[in-house]
Amino acid sequence: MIWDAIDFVCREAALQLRRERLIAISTVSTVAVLLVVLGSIALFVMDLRAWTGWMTGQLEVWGFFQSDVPRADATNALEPIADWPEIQDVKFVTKEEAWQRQKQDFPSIAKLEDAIDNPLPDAVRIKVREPQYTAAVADKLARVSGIDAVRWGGGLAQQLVKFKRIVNWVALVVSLLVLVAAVFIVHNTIRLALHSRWREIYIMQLVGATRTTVAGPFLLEGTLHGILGAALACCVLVPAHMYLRDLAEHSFFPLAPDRALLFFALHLLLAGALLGLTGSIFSIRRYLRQKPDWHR
Amino acid sequence: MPACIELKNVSVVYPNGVAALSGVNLAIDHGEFAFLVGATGHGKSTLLKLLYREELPTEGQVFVSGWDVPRLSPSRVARLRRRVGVIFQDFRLLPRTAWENVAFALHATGTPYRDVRRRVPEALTDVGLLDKADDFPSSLSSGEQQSLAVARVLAVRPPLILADEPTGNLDPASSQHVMSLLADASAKGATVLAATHDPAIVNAMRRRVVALRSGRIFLDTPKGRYPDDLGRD
Ligand SMILES: Nc1ncnc2c1ncn2[C@@H]1O[C@H](COP(=O)(O)OP(=O)(O)OP(=O)(O)O)[C@@H](O)[C@H]1O
Ligand SMILES: [Mg+2]
Repeated sequence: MIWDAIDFVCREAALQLRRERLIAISTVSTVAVLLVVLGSIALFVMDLRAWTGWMTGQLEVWGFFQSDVPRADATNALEPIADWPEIQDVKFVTKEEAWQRQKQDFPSIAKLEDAIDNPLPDAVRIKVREPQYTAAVADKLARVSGIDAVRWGGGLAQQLVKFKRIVNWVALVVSLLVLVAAVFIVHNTIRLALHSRWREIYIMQLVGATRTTVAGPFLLEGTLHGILGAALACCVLVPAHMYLRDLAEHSFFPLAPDRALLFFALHLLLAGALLGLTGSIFSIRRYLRQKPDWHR
Repeated sequence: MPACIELKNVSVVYPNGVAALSGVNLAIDHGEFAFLVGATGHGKSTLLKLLYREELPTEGQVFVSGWDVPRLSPSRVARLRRRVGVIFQDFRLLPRTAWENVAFALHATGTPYRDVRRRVPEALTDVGLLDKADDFPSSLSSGEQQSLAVARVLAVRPPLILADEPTGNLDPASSQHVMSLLADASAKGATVLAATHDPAIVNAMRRRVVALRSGRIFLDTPKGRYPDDLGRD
């Protein structure tokens, strides 16, 4: 019984898909265009996130020890820092390491090696988890005993925090607006498409088909159209993004990685399916309830 | 057991003010075969539409097998319609092949697939349309479309058949054939109510005749004949 019902829905949907090419084309292309817009926004946000994440990784807080602090005291002072929740990574940098690095970076210093003593202090380098923690971490670090001076990205961190918040909000609002518009447009497209089948829907009910029986194939059809449109949108967006990523690879602006694109594509397909399904549900309800004007 | 069809003091006034039926009382028993006659525009189709709930009565009550038709929920309406086979005056075929039209009605009434495959060709053969099984209604003649509408109902074997001028587009021989198919269904237990304008058929079959004039029943005779005067006014 249930298999007969499933079989029936699939056959009916297949029949409609074969017969109603124009409807298929209009719905699929509408969904595709809308999802390209929506998907571009999503990709843009993903990339900005990747970028701010990368920028955050660059945010470091440095603390410098007084030169007369014994090394054992300094490492002891570091131990509780490792437990601070705001930090991602903490590293003790001895003045020898720092000096070595300095000489590598600035070969001119190397020549002076023997002429001058290492002027650098022992230091601690902290990477914070989120940019908004930077100020607090710097503050706390300054109060650690033996720490002489603290240096951090200050303004940049604050701006990153603000920037991230703005991007999140703008993206949310814009995608919601586009989503509402998309549901509305797809609903209207399907409604117009179904209009020509109004009589058919009515006759089906006259010969005893339940509303579920009549609606089932249409909903399946709408869902398939949505998925197809989403697949088309993926075919545009994914290669485009991979191309852009290649271009950006050597710049300071790392884009979202390709494996994130798989995730993105799956979500886009899901969005397409839901768009087609909700559009069909809204559309068919009205035709199920009203009698068509027979002589038009 | 309740009558198969029961109308109690039924009136129908269309939104445009036309009173299509006025104070109609009618009872038809299970297994009965009755003709509904009356001049054009005197309410035959309206009466039939009440029975499968395409129209609602303005006044009065409509029962089919004891079901209070105007009060049925949507899912109940679907169940009612599965038990009432209607041959529509304007055919109401789906824009699909003849085969698919019959098959859809069978699916809608819950027939399993293996039975559908058997019963579609049987019904099409009964009305002589098997060789047009793959044709669309748009490429069938009016008579053929009407025959297809008949086949769609016969395939389902509903306990109640409402036929709205089922032979209006057929030649006399085909008309007689369709009527014999309906009589067969009736002999197997179905209740049949057929609206018609064809005196030859009514007079040949000598069944119950219910006659409408201006939306009122003015004649109801068992084994009746086609009235000489339908009383146009
Ligand atoms: N949907 C409607 N809206 C308004 N008036 C209608 C409607 N359907 C029918 N009528 C009117 O109701 C009256 C009865 O119509 P009905 O279709 O029942 O007649 P009929 O006996 O079936 O006629 P025919 O023999 O031509 O089929 C007619 O006067 C018609 O104009
Ligand atoms: Mg009529």
